[in-house]
Amino acid sequence: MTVILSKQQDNKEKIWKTIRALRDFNVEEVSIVVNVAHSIVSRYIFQLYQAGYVRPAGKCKEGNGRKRQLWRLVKNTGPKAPLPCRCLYDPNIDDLAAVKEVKDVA
Amino acid sequence: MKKVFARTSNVNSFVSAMTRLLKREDGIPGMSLLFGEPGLGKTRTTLWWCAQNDGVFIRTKKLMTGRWLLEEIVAELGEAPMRRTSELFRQAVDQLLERPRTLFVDEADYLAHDARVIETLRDLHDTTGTPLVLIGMDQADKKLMRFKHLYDRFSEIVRFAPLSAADVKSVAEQMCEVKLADDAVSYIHGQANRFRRVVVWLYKAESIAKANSLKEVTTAHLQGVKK
Repeated sequence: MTVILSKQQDNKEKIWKTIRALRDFNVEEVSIVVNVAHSIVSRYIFQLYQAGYVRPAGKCKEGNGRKRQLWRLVKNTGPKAPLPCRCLYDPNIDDLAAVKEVKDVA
Repeated sequence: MKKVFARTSNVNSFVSAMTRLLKREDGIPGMSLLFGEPGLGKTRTTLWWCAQNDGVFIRTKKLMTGRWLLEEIVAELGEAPMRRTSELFRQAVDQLLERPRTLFVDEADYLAHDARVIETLRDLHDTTGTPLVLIGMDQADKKLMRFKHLYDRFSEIVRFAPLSAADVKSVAEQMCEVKLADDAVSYIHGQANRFRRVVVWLYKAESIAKANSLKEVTTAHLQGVKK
């Protein structure tokens, strides 16, 4: 299967690598660790959520009392980052995952 | 609060050890050990380093055999693992020679019960020369000291220590948007030496400063919160 990949995959590669190693994570934490803007991380994790790769895993409380969504990776397919291209292309299993429409939970 | 990765003295010593490891001269072995109590950010720090540089992160499991470990390494390097152990080892070596990457092995003290597994890592390092970092819990150095050949190859041993007062100060300077007086820093250090707890205190200090429009937060202000 050939899929045209976008240029921005470097960031996604980093994010994917990090969330694979962490058990639970929130967007904030990942964006600090990989040094990528919050909005990019948030968008990518939401795309992963829509394709069923991560799922919400409760909330965590921050220092200022605000609550944050925690995520957990449930489909750890391999070292290559799945890439969104209308649906989500996973280079590890060379397959496309359907993106289902979900209501915003984040 | 600024959202940055705060560089504590632990992080700095890790980064300088990694730099020395990557730029080492011929003949100096390229293995390194990183250990410390849980919750000091060993994993986060390595992941942060991995994101900026080329690194492969492997988390070991208690039941891991040599074959399983090799399988995991090969998969992580981006190849489909073959069936036989000899082929797996060759695959790993080929991948590492083709594109040298630093290997991080988390929870390495799990492997300490089995000499064959841990010596496989040493073989991998000896045949390819890629830097290899073992990450372990507290006392990991003592557990691994039994393996003399392995221990000799650790050219850098980094121990993560709980935050010192100087660390709290530098974290506050990097993350906090208000200035903390010296006594406030030592007060926070007395209350918390884990990173996460320190951040909670910094949040408190910031909200106090905001509410009272202070330029600098002192111990008296911080103690006032408790009542």
